Amino acid sequence: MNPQYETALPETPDEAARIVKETSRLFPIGATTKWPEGTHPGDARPLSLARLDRILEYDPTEYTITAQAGCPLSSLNEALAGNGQHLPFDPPLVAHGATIGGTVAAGLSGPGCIRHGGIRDFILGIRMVDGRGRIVRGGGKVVKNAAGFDLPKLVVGSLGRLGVLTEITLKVFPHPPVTVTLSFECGGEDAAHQALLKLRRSAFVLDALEWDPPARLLVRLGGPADAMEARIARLRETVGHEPDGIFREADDADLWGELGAFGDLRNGDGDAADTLLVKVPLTPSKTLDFVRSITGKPARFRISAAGTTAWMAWHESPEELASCLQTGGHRAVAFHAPGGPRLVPEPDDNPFLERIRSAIDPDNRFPPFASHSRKDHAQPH
Amino acid sequence: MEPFLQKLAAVFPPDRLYTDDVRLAAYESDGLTAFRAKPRAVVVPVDEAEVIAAVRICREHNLPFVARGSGTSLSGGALPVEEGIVIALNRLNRILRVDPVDQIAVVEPAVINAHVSAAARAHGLYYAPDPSSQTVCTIGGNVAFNSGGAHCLKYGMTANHLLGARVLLPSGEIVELGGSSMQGIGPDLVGFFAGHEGLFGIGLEFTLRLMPLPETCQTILAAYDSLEAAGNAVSAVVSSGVLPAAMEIMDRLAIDAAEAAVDAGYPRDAAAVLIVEVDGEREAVDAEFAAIVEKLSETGAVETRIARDAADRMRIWRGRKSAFSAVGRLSPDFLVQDGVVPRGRLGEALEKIGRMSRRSGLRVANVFHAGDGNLHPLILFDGAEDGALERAEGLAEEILALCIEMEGSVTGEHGIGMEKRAFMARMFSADDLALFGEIRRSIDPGEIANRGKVLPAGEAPSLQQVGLHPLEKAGVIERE
Repeated sequence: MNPQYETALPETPDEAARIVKETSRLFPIGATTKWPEGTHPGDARPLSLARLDRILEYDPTEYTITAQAGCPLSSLNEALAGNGQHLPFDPPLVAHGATIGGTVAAGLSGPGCIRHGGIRDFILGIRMVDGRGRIVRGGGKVVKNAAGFDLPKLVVGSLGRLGVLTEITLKVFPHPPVTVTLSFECGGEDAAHQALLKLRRSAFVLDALEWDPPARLLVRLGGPADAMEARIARLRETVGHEPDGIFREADDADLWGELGAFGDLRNGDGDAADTLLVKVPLTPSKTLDFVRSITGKPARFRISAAGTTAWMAWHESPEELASCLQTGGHRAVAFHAPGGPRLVPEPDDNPFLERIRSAIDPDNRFPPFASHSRKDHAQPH
Repeated sequence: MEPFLQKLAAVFPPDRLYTDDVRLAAYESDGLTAFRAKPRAVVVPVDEAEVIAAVRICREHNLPFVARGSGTSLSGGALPVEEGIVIALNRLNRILRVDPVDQIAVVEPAVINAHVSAAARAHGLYYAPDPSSQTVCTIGGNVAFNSGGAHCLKYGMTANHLLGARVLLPSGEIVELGGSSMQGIGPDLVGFFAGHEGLFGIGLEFTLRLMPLPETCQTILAAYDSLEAAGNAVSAVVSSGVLPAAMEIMDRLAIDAAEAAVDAGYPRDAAAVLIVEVDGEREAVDAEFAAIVEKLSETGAVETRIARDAADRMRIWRGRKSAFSAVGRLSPDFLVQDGVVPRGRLGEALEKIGRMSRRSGLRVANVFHAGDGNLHPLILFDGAEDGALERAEGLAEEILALCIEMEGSVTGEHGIGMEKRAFMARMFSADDLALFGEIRRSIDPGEIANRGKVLPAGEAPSLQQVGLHPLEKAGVIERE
């Protein structure tokens, strides 16, 4: 193997910066939970953040935590749980070893995001290596900050193409003292959709609302123990029929752990190497049409976050996915795809994005956003 | 007539193209009344096409432009650039669509903040970001500055409720950022656009997130005999594990001002009052509020009042919301600051500010969002007194330096604007600022969009006048 393409493994941010300066084409990776093994692009050098894995600062009374980009979510969750706190955006793939850097770069929030917001609502500050090999900072370490351009938001969903994240500061919240999940079988797609819309309009402050097609809703309540039974009773009344299951404590934790690993979408013995795991942003008014358009296709999917997202395991090609999405005007990110996370279809030209990108990375060290611009990028040497 | 004026006159009729001193005067300043600058012209477009035409003319002639909503910026964000023009967006004020199923509102830039919630209310929804100037300030300005409000700890800022934007770049091109979904794909460009302070162009249309109105809200006011005790009470609330919707503190001077202005009925001998609010589902709020009340009962409050109904709640908030404009009654002039310190160091920060105040001989009234460490020290002085303005500015600088030293921020929500450019170099490294500049010039090579703001360069115009914004004097708006 050409040693230029051996994975770089910096131990410090300064070392990462030096590697960026010395490398003409590279891409950052975390724990590659979103990257099927053996599918790295052959024309660029991987830069792994695995050794930048520590929590740097955590003060529970400040509601903030700062960690290096390679820090596993499981480490963050453990530290936070010890102080009755959690990551409110409920990131997936914790058990697989996902890192906070990879989660930010992929822009993934889980079902819990409906209560307080997604990852973009909790990222306060970053340090990253830009395309010139400079370590730069955006945002800060406090929950309120209006100084400078909002680089922390920019890098959410940036797929490693706008810099190598080295450090991330997040806002965190207290986790609910008690959570209970109710499962409702609604009788059919239409009924499930109607029940979902009704719950969205209601006074309930839900911790999760998932739709497992065709007709099963999972509704999670979180809050003080004293109020839980009264809320459950009220929920049953609102939905209009009895739940077919109630999950508490360990069962509740296991259920959401399974969903966080996309266990409901993947084959138990491992997906085929070319299975795409896909996130599709939705709006609730289009959710039912989306369900109908995917039913019968070679895919397993779930409607998540109160009808604002679909998670899919897609067993055909990206081109066929793009074609299927086109009818409803949808776009997606394949966050687990051979060759790395990618947008499906590839993004249209966007002068705002291109000007930002070229300012951050004038020598095109990081991967481009669309294949048509690859030909404009310098060849590796 | 100069070429650019001829071009503008071809687009804008005389009653919407101002070049005379009389009509220009209204645009010379914004909420930071210390600065004034007269532009060469003001245009008042009635639709998107005219905004685009104006920016394209500016680009062609390398003419700086400043987009303006209601001009309530507290950092000089809407301050004109003397060699350029102002694009007054007030006629683009339509709410285009409210969708109760998707829970979004699509609005033009000059829609007034409070009007969004008013339009959404019929559907049981509201727009959460609530700066205290919300009856006057516009969404476009809110987006440009990522405006906050009293509920930021729990509900976030404007950016957290902005899903999509149709943007006119300084190049004259139009881009669509984000969309209608709470989820995004690719880099969060609409999030990056929020807080750009006008440097990335003009937002022509925004898709805003609406939320169901909370079923109920419980509010408590607790009075303390020291600011330190109030600060400790905040820590107690935080330790309860409940996430309040709002936590606000006012000190004695701010209380006195509020009493004089609106007769809020706060305990007169309190050194500080703390307001805590919890909202959500009825059963959950009852349990959470009870937990907070219990925690607060152990914090040595000299008095606590629980709002019994909506009227009580309004009364508790009225004092807090009037505090800034009320301070104008205590002093002929004042400077308002907008620093952030880590919440746990609020007590320490306030104690240091108190010492700085005594050293300078100037009184400082403190009002702040205790939940997120965002301070608003109001430095009181009399401009007629020799050297008082300089001393006030010096004290302001000391306070901001303290915020930086504590690893906070020089601005929680008002933005850098014109006022705090010099502090950017203290908060950010040379490399950080270099990248900001490179991004800015990549998007706007001619630096025509809000030239001279945010990024340090050149001399700031001298302070000329300080005090209440004319709308505050008239009691129309209250600032935070």
